[in-house]
Amino acid sequence: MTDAATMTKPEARKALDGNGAAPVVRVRNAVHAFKGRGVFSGLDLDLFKGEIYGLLGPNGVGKTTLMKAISGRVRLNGGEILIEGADILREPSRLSAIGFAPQEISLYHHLTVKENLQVFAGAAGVPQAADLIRILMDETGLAARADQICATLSGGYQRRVNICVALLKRPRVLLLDEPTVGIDIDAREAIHRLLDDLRRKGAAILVSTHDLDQAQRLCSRVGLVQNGRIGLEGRPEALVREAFGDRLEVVAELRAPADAPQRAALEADGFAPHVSETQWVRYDAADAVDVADLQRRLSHSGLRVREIRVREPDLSSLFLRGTQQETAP
Amino acid sequence: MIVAMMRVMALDLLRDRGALVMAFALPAAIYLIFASIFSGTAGDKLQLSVALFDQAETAGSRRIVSAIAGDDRLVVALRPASRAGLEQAVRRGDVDAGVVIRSDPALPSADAPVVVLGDASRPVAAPVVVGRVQKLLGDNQAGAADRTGAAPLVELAQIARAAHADAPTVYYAGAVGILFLLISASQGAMLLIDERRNAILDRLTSSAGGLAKAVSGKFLFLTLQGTLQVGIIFVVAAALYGVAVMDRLAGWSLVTLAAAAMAAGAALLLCAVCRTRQQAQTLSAFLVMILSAVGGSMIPRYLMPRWLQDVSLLTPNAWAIEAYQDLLWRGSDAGRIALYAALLVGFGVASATLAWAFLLRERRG
Repeated sequence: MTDAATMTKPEARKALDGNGAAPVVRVRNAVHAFKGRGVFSGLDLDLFKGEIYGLLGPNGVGKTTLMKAISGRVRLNGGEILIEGADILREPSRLSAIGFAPQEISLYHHLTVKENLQVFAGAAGVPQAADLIRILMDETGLAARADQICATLSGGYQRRVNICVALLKRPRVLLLDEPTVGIDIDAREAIHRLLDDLRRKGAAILVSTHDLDQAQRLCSRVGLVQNGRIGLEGRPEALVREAFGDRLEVVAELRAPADAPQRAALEADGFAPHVSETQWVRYDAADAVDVADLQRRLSHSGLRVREIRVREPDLSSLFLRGTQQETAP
Repeated sequence: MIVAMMRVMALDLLRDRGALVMAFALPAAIYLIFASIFSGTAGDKLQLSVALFDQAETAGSRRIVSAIAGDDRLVVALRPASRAGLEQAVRRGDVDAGVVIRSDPALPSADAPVVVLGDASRPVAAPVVVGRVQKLLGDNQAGAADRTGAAPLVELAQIARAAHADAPTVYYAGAVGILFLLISASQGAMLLIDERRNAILDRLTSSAGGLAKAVSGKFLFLTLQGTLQVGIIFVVAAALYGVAVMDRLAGWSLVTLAAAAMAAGAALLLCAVCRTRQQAQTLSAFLVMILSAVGGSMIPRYLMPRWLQDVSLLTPNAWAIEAYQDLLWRGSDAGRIALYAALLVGFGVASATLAWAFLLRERRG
């Protein structure tokens, strides 16, 4: 197995941005601490035009802080952030290229969709706001709900309005913090279509998400924040292929947690702890998977097996392994 | 179940400092303030300030001057050199009443030897002073002369006013106006708490205007809202009670804008330091009650003990009430009205600036 962290950075960027264009957003050697606890320790990240970059990582690793830093709302303790080649500290006007949709539904809930957009357009000093608002509501599928009070909208539509506000400045860079959290599948798909459309129109989009399925299907590239830096980074399918090759993921789900001798037996059989005490995982070559034999051997060790699942590994497999490595003693 | 419910309510109360203050500290504080005020109005403890002019300058009049000066119920705040000066002091509200000793109380005279000048804006004050002076005259046997068929020893006179309205209607238009300014500005400013909690403020402050413009916009809106609110109160006062707002429209506009700006700034500061609406509601209820009680929105300041009158001059309620009284009742000079307006605007702008600084510090983590 190749270390995915070492295979990605220059190669993946070159592959993605074959014409050699400079990144729209470049974060270099970002260092940040909050209440004495280090959040970033030399984090690098490049975001290119026409890509959706998925920022992955468990809670508390600093995904939101990174987005706030890029949007100028948090000042880093060290390092630099360049927007279209210019340092945002020296040229804060560059921040006008950025639209940020926070994880919270940051709207006036007692106002209508159109009134919200008018308020935020006014605050941002958007010229010819009425025309732009009409266009954006069409693009985001909100036109039919323009006069509906936001509090009465479904979660999915509220998310759309939240993103629509971030689009008011016609940003070249869009930062979306958990844009699909807490909404149903249909609404999520609608937001995916919206983001893909924006990407095709040339926007550079940075998305933080816990939804690995979303990241795998939506993102051109993903990066896993580990130990204050981007650990794994690259195209989702390339990362998975590089990490697991053609092997399959075999998960043994037990009826009860394994005791010490049983754990030793599982580990001797190539299993590692998975998402819970009753789940163990290993990766086998496709032609070596024999579920019946595996079931027999585990039962022989005194383990009560609920089921054995076999599937192709995906980004969640990689993510779990990455976070387990991070939390391992 | 009953014990569990009692426990959860006790824990909820204990962990909410604001609710604790509201439940236990505020009632006692309010009681102390009202007790201080009303114990002072009971008559035997009411202490009134007077201006004293000895027009007669006889041995008998000097005796009564000494008696008044030594009395513990009357505070001689001014000794004007003329009756005109005394009348001006009463008219301006510098003192609660004026005492003029026209002739020697020990000598027979056709007119009352002592005149107490009062103002309708302090209706209780002058009669109390009359009673007190009569007692002092009796104690000093100043009225020992045979006055059979003569005028009484002490005469009560009122300062002449051009105003059509009753003094209390002018007083309470201002007092109620400032009270509701504070309440409604606090309510309006609470949107700021929602905006901080759901990151709207982050959005607004990353826009072209930034935090300063966001705070300024709120400040201006609350100021205009307050001006309209007080305007409605005074329109009613003018229509029903003849309060002469239209005669002093420019001054009224200045004082009202200043008072509304004060309330807007104070409300923004309150909502900048509170994290939740509940906290802000608790704190605003506490502050509005205290300021209104001490500042004269509930009970006229002249009925308070002297020390509380001095303290009340530190409250914006008192500044606004005095400014309206000066403008619409006393007809005082423009300088004093401008001073109160400046104090109100200064308080409002300083509070809004502090709110901005607090929010900026919060945004920068």
